[in-house]
Amino acid sequence: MKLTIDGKEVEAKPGETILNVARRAGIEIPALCAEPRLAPFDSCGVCAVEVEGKGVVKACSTPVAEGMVVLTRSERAEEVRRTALELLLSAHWGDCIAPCQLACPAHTDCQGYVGLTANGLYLEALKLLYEKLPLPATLGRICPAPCEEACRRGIVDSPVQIRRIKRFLADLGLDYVPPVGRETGFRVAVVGGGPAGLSCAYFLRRLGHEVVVFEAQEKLGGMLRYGIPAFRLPDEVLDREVAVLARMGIEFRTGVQLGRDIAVSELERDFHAVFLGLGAWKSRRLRIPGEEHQAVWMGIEFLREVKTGGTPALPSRVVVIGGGNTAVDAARTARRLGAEVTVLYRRGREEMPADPQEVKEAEEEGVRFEFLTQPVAFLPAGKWLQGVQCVRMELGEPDSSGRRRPVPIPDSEFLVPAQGAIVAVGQVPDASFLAEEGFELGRGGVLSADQETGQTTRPKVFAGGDLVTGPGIAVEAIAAGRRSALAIDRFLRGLDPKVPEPYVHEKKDVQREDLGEVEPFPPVQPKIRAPQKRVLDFSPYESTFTRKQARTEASRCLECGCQAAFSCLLRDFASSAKAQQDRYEGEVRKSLPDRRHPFIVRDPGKCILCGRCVRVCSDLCGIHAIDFVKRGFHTEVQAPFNSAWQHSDCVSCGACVDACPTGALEDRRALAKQTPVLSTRQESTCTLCDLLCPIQVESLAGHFLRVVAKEGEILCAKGRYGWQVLIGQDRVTRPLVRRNGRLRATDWEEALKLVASRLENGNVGLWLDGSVPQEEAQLWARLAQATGATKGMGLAIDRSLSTEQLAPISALDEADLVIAVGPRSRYEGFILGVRLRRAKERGVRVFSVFRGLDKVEEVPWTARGRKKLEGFLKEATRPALVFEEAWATDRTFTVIEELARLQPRLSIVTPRSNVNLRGLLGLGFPPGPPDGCPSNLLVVGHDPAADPRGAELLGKVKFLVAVTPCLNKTARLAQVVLPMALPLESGGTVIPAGSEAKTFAPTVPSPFGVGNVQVVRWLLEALGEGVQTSGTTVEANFAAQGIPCLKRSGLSNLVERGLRRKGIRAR
Amino acid sequence: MKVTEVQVGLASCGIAAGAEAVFNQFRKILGSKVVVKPVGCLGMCYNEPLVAVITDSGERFLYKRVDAALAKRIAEEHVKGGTPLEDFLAPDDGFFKRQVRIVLENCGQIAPTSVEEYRERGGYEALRRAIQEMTPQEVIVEIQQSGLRGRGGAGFPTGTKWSFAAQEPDPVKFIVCNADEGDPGAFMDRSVLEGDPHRVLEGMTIAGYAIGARFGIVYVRAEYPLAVRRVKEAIAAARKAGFLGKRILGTPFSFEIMVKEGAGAFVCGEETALIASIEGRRGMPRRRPPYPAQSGLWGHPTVINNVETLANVPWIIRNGAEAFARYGTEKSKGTKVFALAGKVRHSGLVEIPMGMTLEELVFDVGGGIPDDKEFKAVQIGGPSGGCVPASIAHTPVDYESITQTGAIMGSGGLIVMDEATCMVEVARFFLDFIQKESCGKCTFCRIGTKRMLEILTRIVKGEGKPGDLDKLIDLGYKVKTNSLCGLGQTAPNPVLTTTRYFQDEYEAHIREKRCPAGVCRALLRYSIDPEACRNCKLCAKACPVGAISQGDGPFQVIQQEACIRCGRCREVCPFGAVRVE
Repeated sequence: MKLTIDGKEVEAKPGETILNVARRAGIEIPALCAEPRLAPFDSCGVCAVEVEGKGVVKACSTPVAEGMVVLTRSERAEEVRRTALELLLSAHWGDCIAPCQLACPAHTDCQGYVGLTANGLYLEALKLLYEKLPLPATLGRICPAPCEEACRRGIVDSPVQIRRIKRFLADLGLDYVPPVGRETGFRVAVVGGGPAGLSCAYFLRRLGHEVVVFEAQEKLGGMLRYGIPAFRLPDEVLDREVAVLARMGIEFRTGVQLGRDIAVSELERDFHAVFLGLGAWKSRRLRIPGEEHQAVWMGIEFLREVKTGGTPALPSRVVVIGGGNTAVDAARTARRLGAEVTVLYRRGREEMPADPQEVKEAEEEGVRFEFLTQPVAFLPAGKWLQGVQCVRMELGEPDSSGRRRPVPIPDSEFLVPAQGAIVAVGQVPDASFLAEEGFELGRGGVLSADQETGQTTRPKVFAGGDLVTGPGIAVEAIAAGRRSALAIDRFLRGLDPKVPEPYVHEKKDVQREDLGEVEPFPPVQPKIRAPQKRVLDFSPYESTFTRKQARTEASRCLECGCQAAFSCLLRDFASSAKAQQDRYEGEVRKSLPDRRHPFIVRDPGKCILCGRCVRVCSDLCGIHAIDFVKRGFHTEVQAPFNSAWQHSDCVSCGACVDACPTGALEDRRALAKQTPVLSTRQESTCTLCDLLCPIQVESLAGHFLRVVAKEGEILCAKGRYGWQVLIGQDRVTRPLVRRNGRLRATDWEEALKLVASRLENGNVGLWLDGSVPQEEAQLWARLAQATGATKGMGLAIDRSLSTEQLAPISALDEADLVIAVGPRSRYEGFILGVRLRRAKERGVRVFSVFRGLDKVEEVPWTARGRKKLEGFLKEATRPALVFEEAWATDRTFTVIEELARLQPRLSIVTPRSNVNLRGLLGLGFPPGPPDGCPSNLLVVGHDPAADPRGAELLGKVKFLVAVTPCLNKTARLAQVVLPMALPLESGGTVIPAGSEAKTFAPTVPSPFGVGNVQVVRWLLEALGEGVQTSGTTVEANFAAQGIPCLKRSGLSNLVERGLRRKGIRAR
Repeated sequence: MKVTEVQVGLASCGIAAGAEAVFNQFRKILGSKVVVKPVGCLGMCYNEPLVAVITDSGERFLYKRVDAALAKRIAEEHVKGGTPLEDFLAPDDGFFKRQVRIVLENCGQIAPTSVEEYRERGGYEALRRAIQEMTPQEVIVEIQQSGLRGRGGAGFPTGTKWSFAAQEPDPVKFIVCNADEGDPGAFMDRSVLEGDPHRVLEGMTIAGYAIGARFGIVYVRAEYPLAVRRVKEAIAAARKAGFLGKRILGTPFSFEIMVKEGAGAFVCGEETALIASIEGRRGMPRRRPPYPAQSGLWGHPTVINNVETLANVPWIIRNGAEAFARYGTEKSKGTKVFALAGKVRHSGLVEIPMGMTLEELVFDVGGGIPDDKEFKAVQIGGPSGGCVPASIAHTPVDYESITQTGAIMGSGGLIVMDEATCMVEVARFFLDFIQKESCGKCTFCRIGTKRMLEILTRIVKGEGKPGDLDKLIDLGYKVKTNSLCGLGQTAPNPVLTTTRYFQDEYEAHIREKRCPAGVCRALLRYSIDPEACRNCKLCAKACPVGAISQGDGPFQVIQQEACIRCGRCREVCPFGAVRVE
């Protein structure tokens, strides 16, 4: 049938839903509860669309009809969608973005770089910092850190010292130069080399534009260089930061003043766009008698004089007038010039705009503060002053700034004795010449420009920083520079300069109890010179954090921002629907994250009750560990009796995490500090058993984060979290050699030489794990040939089938009848269960003898049950039997034998952990230990010492070499231990008994930098057996004769032990 | 005039009023000389416990509010002595006069689980006729012609629903009796199941025959233990008598019925949620279509009928569609049972012909409003029904007319309200119930009703803001149109009808911070009239928070900041000096 969606004619089959048809046609309809693999649930209400003649319907559950006309973005549909989203948001308890990042005017990803610092990923942290912030070393010193004010840790004890961490990263000397985008051919002029201008230039350059910065002063930095004393920001730091910008290819022209040397109109002519970041340099005056006296300095001029090497002759007693940062800087500078300093401020301490930290430090240095004091006249006394006539103030009603207005107290005049005064009561931009060029000015002499984009009345000209806002803090200017850079970029590309902002959800009114249990941990103190010492000179007095200090401080972060910030569908849809958090204000579903599961973190407050997790668990996985509980507004998803999920029927497959459209269910990443950052994903294969499930490995700059299922697939706990266990365990990262009875780290050369020298003696055995990939195994075979070694693989178990009937796993896909025989594990057995359910959906008859997790029809092993199965077996043309060898009992084998007698055509399959079984057999590695009691034995990848018989065998070996990823029991017995990379680190090809050969790529580097093939090559070289690097061709010579059943070994065993230790049950 | 039988109303309502003691008293005194029989509910809740004394001439003396002492006197003086106690007889107050009893014809008249007594009054005759003399198709036609519509609330034509299921080729079909009566104050289904369970079983069996089902399930909430017990007993009795089981009455038709007890979620009365509940899943609705008649329990065609609907079926088959269709209006045939409650003299269970007006129902059957108060409105259709004001109480009881008012017919809860009822508080109360009973599945019902409730709570607390009313109505319509199931779609009805008919009351709460009905505590203001006060200080003693003290003269004064508006002072004042506004 045919229908129209958004004016596009599409084909559909009867019974299909609007949502599915639209998706197929490439028309995206937002939907939260609709999970492609499941039947419609119809709960979220977000997929509202309008059907002509029918009104607004839910696309996920409404079947298509011939000639239907669907509008996905009609006003009525949008209204319903937005309402649904706003209702969901009104009950949502979470922060998309951490409050620190939101509080930062530049939206620097504070939680991100703090978290990366805590994880020791310094370069990544610095890169992230540079995403939003040039000049990190500067800001790391002088920023008043609004981020720290917002930090939730402050509710517990004291905020994380984000600024000092920033300084640490910038000072680490990582020599990072941010990348520059592909050249666009656009040229932009930036006027003003202060924070606003430098920031704008930086971001424009990152976007690939050519940038020329014009600076009136001799050097770059603007107010940062000339307005901030050296003890807070030395010139070298600024020079270093400017050098980074220069290395990015930004051109600087200093000593060029706008209005004097060039005109805006010229720039408009010569460049595609212009940014004005001239700052606010004109000191505001008190306009009281005596202000023109030579003993009265203006704050900024005073600071500039000192910074440029001047030493103003100050009298012994000086007052500084003002309450901002400039006043405090001037006071501390004057103190360092030897004066006794008193700061006069007309309001109270609470109202001071200066950074409290600096006020505190100034007081330590002996600066005195007089509050509620307003000068009314400077009283000259020749060259100096006699004093400052003042009046006492009191605070009245709040003014437009929200602060209480100071009102003079009548008859309260008094004299503050001082010989000199510095007036620092604010600055204003000097933009009068811009007015002459036709620009519009606002109140206070600032330049008028669009608040979001900085665009002025002349479309090509943008502006930002103090010039537009009046004096602000540096990071605000940097933010303005960035905003304008993005706007200019859009303007140049012919777009609306306004950058669309993503939706940001915030936890409002957070109380101490909303943070749960937090261990109090005092902030780390950097080394700071004593106040008495530091007033003696102008050198910086605070040290940068050490690595250890920085990591400790960063680890205090409470991880507020949502892990799903970059993948949350709720946030995406809220952004595109322009939904608001508080349109329907009311009770919020506050909750604390549930961290009881070793790998899954649940945040019930973020749950939108779409039921995807519940339905995936029951309908796809066949488990049903979780369901909705309670009613009404307080409905939630829980395991029975609110138990920890891993203690319910949960098999820790993580399918619920993949299904969750928000951050309510998240995997713990393999990081000490959970940090929401953009990561990369690579396709690979889980080689922990020969079901060889496709996986995606998530990593950050080569650092393994987690494994997720390929879209639409399901993994078992081993595949999902086992790799995390493996990678995170105590790895062997360097060769170890036994000396004086103890294993000691050594270099490759020594270890390889030692091994080679022993192997040359002959009587060598080579015992490979059944999962060693073909590329490595071929080289090992070569080594065996060179040394005349006997070969072996894994360990055989006691009970095995007569194996003519063992068939590849793919037999399951072709079968028309499947009988599963238990017991079955929560790992391979669970995945088999999922496959059985799928087979059942295809119409295949599926039975189970002895229960598994899957809820397939169970046939009791009684005479009647046997008869029933016999009937079906006789009818079936391609019957298959599946069991799990590793868990099989005598009873299992009895059943299998009996069923095989009933139907000789029965294909019997079992998953195995020896994933390269066929490959190794083909290379001549027979199951079992190498023949002939070798006295020199190499054990690769497995741990025979963990088994009593294996240990006995090893006891007879004189020289044991263990090639292993971790210090297992065999390694502890060995004379030499060589590190081994994990399959995800090394890649390779395996040829399993049960399916086709599979090649998988390495995804993250090994902890010792190379793959396993390289290790064998080195060993061969040490033996004088050079190997051509032209690569190895993988061959499969599968001997068709029977394969004995093989026990789980190596990695698979290691993983199961690790998961059990973590609290995940095997069955 | 020999007394042959004493009947004691032993439905839940009677038991709650103390009928068990009465019953035991009669048993003790009369022994086996006279039949003492437990019967179901007669409907006169306002007169419970009820005892009927039957004489050999068929005369019936109905005693009201009988306790153990009175029972003793009745046994001695009337049963043994032959002298009726005239003073204690229930007066003919018109309660029954305008009722037409079809569903309730046996309630309170027979021993509920007795097949014999049921048969004596024509029971199982309809079943016999249906399966021996009629084809399934003829049964369906008969029901269709009777005009019977679903009494669960939506009013879907029953015969049509049956015909849908009958057309399905699936050999496995089910009949489900929906007895998940969840409306606060409604007890129609309970009374029928307790008083005349065979009637429902017979209806189900006929329905099973009509659609080709072999299996029926009575889904009844576990909070109705007596109903559960009676139904189970009745099933056993019917099976024993051959009215259930294999080859009923020698025909090839077989039918079984089982009872499934629900855990008591309001939403499980919604048919798709009910199906989920029977299947062992959480009672959450799903979208219809497919309708259960096509794909219901475990995917098989399933007819779900309410208790009252099924209880009508035997009567229709027995007396013919035409007899049934004589009652009611053009589109709503037959009768409707209501549970009358609230500010009405005759609270109880009544059955009236469709088409009677609400006013007649309240005044003629219900006896009007007690205490000479003004009739203000009725809430019809349960918590998700709506308020119909007195001004349009001339609306006849039929599906279409009730829907016109913004309310719904519902399953038969009817709460009468007088002038002392605050309509904002009524809306808040019902919405609170619905919000707590929402299954939590869909956004609009789960969060939308919560936000509406918060606004209403704000208003009754005197914290209403300008614009709240618009917000409430806007959200109400959104919830109504976008919710998944009937619960959410009707949840805003009490709010939408009260805002429509009583907007001024809302305005008074929001703008003037005043509750015209004097109900919303936060908005009340107690004061003492100095003129009327005799300074006896009783009020000051009674005040639990010490908010009353000596005024500037011989009178007491209430400190408004301290007052918690409990009204104790007003209760104790002997001079009526405490004013409330």
